[in-house]
Amino acid sequence: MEIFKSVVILLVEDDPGDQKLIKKSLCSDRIKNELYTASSGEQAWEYLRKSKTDNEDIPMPDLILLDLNMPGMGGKELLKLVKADEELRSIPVVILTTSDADKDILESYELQASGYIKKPVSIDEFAVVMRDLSEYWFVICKRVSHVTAADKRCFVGGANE
Amino acid sequence: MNNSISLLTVDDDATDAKLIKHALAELNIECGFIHFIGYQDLLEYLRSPGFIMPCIILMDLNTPQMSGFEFLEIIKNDPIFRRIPAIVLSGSTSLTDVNRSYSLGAAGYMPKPGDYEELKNMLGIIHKYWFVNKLPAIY
Repeated sequence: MEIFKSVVILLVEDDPGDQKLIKKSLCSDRIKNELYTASSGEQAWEYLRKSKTDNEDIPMPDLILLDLNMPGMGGKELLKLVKADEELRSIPVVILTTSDADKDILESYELQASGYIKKPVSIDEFAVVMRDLSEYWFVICKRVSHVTAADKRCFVGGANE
Repeated sequence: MNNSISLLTVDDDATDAKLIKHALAELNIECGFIHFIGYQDLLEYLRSPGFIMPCIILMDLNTPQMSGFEFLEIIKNDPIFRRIPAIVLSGSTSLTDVNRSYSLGAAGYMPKPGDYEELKNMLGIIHKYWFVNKLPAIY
């Protein structure tokens, strides 16, 4: 249950108010995190594509928090792209949305979302939800290991453990 | 998790399952709990008319006959079962196993707890997380 490096989270959210709220809730959390924000599905996909290269400024996320309803590329479309990509598919994607329609819940899990959270209404509830989410993904769950070209150079001839 | 959600566990060691059941009771977590000793049994249950959603699966990787990886491949290629969150609880801390599990669609990968208190803490966190999540109810 040790945390060795800060957690990288990609937040895909078009609403500036919700962006602020999520940022604030995560900041108050005891887990050190680096939050990257994309305001659209297109921007997020661009980020994720670039994260596959060895660019230190664009690290591959440990978790993606994804809104469903955004203009242009929607959350489900982005989820489909991520889960079809050999290098990105192992990143857990948690849906964070205002919708609690059965169709959205069902389709998100079919597309391999690792959770579906309806955005809480109050700031306090938001903080609790973010704390529970962080504890699950970053305290008890093992994180996906993103093997970069730099790692590969370090571990030549040895197991990458 | 509340009593409308079932927790299905697969572990060839019945003692571990008993400990989970005991910890859930101590934590006052009210949910359905069914233990299977192997994946064939779980698949039979999922395919039976008595199978109830919503549920989450807490699964071991190293089981005789069918491994956790094989099971993940089967359910994640099934149009209905692929909707069920499957969480790996394994004695292996190999990064290859972690990455492979996530790539196959696991909704979490956690090392097996070292003692009962750690197990209780872990189940408490799993409960809180899945309690706030919406799960597919019916199909």
